[in-house]
Amino acid sequence: MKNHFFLPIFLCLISFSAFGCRAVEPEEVYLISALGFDRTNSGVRVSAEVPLTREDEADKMEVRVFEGEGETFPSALEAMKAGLAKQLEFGHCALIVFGDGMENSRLDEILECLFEWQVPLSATVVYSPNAGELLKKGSLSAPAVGYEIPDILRLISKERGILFQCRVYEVASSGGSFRIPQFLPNGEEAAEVDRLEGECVYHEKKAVGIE
Amino acid sequence: MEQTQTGLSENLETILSAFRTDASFRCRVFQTGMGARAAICYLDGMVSQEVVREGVIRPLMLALPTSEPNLAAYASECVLFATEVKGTDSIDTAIDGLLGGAAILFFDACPTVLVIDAKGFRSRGIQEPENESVLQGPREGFDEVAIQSIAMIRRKLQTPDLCAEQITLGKQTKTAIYLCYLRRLASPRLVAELKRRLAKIEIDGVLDTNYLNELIRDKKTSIFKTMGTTERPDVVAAKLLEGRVAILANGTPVVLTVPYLFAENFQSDEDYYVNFWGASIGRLLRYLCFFLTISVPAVYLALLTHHQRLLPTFLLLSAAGTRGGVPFSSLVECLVLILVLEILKETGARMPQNLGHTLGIIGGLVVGQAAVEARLVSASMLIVVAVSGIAGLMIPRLRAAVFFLRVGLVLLSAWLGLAGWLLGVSALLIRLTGTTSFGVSYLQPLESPTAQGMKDTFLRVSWGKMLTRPAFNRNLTRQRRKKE
Repeated sequence: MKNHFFLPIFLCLISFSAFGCRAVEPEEVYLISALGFDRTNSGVRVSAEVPLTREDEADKMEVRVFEGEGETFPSALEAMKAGLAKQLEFGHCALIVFGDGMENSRLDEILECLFEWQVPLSATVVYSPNAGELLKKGSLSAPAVGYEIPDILRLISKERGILFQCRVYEVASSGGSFRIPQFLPNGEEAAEVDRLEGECVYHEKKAVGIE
Repeated sequence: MEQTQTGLSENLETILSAFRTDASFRCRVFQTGMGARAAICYLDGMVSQEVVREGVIRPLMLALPTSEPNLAAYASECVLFATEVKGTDSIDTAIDGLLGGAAILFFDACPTVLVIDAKGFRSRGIQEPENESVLQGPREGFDEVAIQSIAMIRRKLQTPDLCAEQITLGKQTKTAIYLCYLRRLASPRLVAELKRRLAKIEIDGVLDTNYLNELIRDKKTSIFKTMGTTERPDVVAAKLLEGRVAILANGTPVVLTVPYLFAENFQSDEDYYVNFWGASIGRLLRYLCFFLTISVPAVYLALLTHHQRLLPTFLLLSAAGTRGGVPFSSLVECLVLILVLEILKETGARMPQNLGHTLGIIGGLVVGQAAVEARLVSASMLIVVAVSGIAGLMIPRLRAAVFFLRVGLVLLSAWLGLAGWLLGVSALLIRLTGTTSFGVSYLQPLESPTAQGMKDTFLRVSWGKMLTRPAFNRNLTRQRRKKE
């Protein structure tokens, strides 16, 4: 009979110590749909695409791209956060864009950051010469670029039977040699979507060309 | 105990002094044909005037003279037309009879007073219980006269095994309580335990069986019912056939049945009067609705505030969008909506029917539409709480328990996320396994399922397969019918 009294208390304490009180309201976070990593003259730049729903029209979405620069990717993220009023939530990030120069140590650093920020391992990884610009150009067929590009790849896979091995966990476990789709931003015409233009080949953590 | 006197005037004076301020007290003194004067006293509205007139006064007036020394005994045996006549020398017993609806008869020069059963107070009559209506099946319901309720049970169980033992409780009300059971099916230990607990009750008045419910149940503070309640004679008869004991009380149509198991909360009265497929679907829906009504707000709150990664992205975005501008946290919003829902349900139950419809519309419009547009609550949380509320309506017997469980799980989820919800559900299961109803485990037969034991829990199998009675009482005859 005493167990009936103490057991719930014990379970409560265990749960509290394990999980604490980490309640966060959904409107208190920015949900990141895509991350872009670029090289700059003085270091690196991290771009984050964030879809926002409007209070007055919940079915309409607008997209913003936040940027931050620094010597390393973590410091670039900190620089980005400094100007934001909400926390960043990486758990729904669907797209990672590698810009030019993301190889060797920078590649390792990106993967480390992705694990540390708890980006889903199933996020799609693509290449674009300028990751930030790809995200800023916006999407036409989906609310955000982060959702559009994985949808495009899924459709192509289904229609043409092509298997793209470009998830974060596939890139991380490839040992530095992998192929990821290249996407170029949509053009000036209203009907253009982001274009798949071949694959960027990485061999031993170095980008060797586009096929 | 005050004894009666020999003289008629002295006895009348004693009775009159007890009822001097009672405007319903009536007394008629008359000359009998037997040679002596007599007086009949009764309370207007409690007795049948016809019985008093035709069964008592007329035969006494028309009686032939007699030399019998004990006029009361003579009248009781040879003159009166009443069905039940008892003689007593105690004024207190006579007054008790008077208060119970009897007429009391004094004779001059005779110390014995006759207590004549002449009950004739109005009762509501047989009506369908409002809270236990069925689409198919009997529609009788008990009324406030326990003896008539017992008669209704007896019409269904025409066996000499049916026992109806009476005890009296309540110092002021002297309420007649009846224990009904089938001698060869009910456990003697259960009956003895019930009598023991009832005998310990010391109370001024018992106006409803719920007084007894709260005084004799196993865990007095439990949010779960451990004694069944019903107003239907067919339900009571069915429970007695399973070896349970029914407790009836004068003045209330609600009958208690013990023991009461958790699975009975999910049984509907008409489960046994419709096809077993339909009954089984209803049964499964009720179990599902119980889980939904206590869990949906808590799980939604946990996912929204602690485990946002588990939610689909667009759902989370939509929730964030609808919550934009809402000044309260998700927890406060959820609790307020649960409270408003309970207020609406309670008001709807108490209001007169013609106002209830209007109130439902106002409640829906005001809470549903205006509150969302004013950004006091979010649409998604309103839908979640509404779904939970609607699911809760499927199991009216668990209404109180569902409210506390729902709020408790919401608070735990807001504090610890899904771990808090799991903790709450675990605590609930621990509590249920430790609950008993008059010595029977509350979770029977769920905690030790067997094929025959489960035939009337999640599903209701056909009557062809209902071969045995419930297994909670090992003493009684298990076999209900022979296998074909």
